[in-house]
Amino acid sequence: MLAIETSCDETAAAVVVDGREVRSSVVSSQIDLHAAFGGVVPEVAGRAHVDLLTPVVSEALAQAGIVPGDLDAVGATIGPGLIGSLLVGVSAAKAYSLAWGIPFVGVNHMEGHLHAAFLEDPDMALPAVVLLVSGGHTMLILMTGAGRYRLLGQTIDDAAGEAFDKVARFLGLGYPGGPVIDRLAGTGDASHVAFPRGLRGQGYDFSFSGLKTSVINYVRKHPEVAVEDVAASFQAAVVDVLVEKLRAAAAALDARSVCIGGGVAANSALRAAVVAAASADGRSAFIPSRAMCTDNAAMVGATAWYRLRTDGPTPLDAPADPNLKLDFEPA
Amino acid sequence: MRVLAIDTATSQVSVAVAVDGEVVGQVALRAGRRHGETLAPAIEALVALSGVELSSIGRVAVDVGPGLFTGLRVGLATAKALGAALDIPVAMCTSLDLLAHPLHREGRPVASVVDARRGEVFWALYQPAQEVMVACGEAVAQSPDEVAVRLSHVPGVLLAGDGARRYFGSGPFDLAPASFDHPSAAVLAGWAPDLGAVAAERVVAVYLRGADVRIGWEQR
Ligand SMILES: [Zn+2]
Repeated sequence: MLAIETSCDETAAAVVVDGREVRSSVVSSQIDLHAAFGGVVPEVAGRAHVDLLTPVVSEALAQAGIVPGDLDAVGATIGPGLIGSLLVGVSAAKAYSLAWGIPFVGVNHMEGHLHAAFLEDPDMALPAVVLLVSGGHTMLILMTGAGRYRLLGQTIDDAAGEAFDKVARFLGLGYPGGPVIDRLAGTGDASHVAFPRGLRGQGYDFSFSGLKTSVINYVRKHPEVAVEDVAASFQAAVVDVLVEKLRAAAAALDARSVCIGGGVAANSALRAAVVAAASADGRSAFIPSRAMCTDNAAMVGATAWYRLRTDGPTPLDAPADPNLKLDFEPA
Repeated sequence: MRVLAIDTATSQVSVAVAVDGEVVGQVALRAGRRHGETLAPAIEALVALSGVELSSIGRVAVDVGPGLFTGLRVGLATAKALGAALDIPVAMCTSLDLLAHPLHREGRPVASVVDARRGEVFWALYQPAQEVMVACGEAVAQSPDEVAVRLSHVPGVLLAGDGARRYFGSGPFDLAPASFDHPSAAVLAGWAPDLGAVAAERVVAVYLRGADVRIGWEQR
């Protein structure tokens, strides 16, 4: 299976065998292109995908050491994401499908993140509660099997990664905000400022926009504060609330595992806190590698393989859908 | 040589196949903004009905713009993937050259004018030479008023393209027939053997307008 991912600002392609074995996974990041603007610029991203995709696919095939005749299908992220970015990967995948006479499979990006864990731990014990956190989404999901998900809660305003980016931009730390805040927080005092924990103890939904505002207000009032302490205190507020809700959901639903995914799952404080909480609660924690947390095409390949068997090929007239929803089971 | 040509630079999606410069099949759709949904099925239908298999194609040709950004992305991503997948070169042609080319028989100056939205057009002026149209100066994005001023000094000029239809449909210039409102993949397929071709990864779009750099915090 050749898989393509172009939903946001990473141009990625991978070759995955039987939904499990990652033969190659190439990711070309556009971070440098967008850094000057302090965030992802949709038109810039779309143009870059057009230029980058063909070489990235060729590289994925070369690294996997396969020839087109070995491929059984081609999968691509069909949504959610930036429409101008999605269209590039979807159009290219349809063209590869036509040229090689193999089926096309459209994949939901969020389902890709949910399948990422299985690529590295096929034996993850179910049911599992999965926390998906990135620049575009913050969701708590109960996973009872492949393709069987229940949405427990999500952000009511900013995504967790968006809060990192906005706080970093305010502090003049550049884009993207996650890695630099993670690094600065390592030497800061997390108890220096008690920033608010949004919606604490109130179900499984999240809110981060109040936290962002309170960081901005605090720094304006205390311009002398060390940026490391602000970063550490802000990060602690995000991690506390994410882990608390993940833990509460796992306990209430008697989950056997907890798992994290999405770009923010690369944050070292979050990773450590989830491991510690799971071990205290007697659950197994699955923490994918950083490369598997951030957007990649291997997770798309794993999902496409599963979807091809359950749903069959996707028609070539299927549209890219920037607001594609995951098919959740009723609560 | 067998050529598959793709044009998605305007609201029309068209694809065509030519064998040794002769067009043997074409599909043209007024797709609106649904380029991503119509292009691949159009190629599939064209291949099935013309009997020309993709594996027998020796060259892909693509309109690289200027035109609708979304349409161009779909057309270029498709053409580049086809070129890479079939390991064949890709011929590039601008939408403005493509509009002007078939009008060389008219023996008069031609202005190709593509609707650029936001009150502008992408356009270029051409003079007829033997069997070809020769561009006079650079293609640019301008307001229709600026184009009108310039063209008022070009006697006998003939206009083609959806921008010409939209802004000069009721005068004061001569317009080519409606069949010249959109670039044609059939014209491109027939012309492609005479155009240079490059490796798929070297195919780039002609935007003629910088990216809108407002940041979108849309869903990932
Ligand atoms: Zn993602």
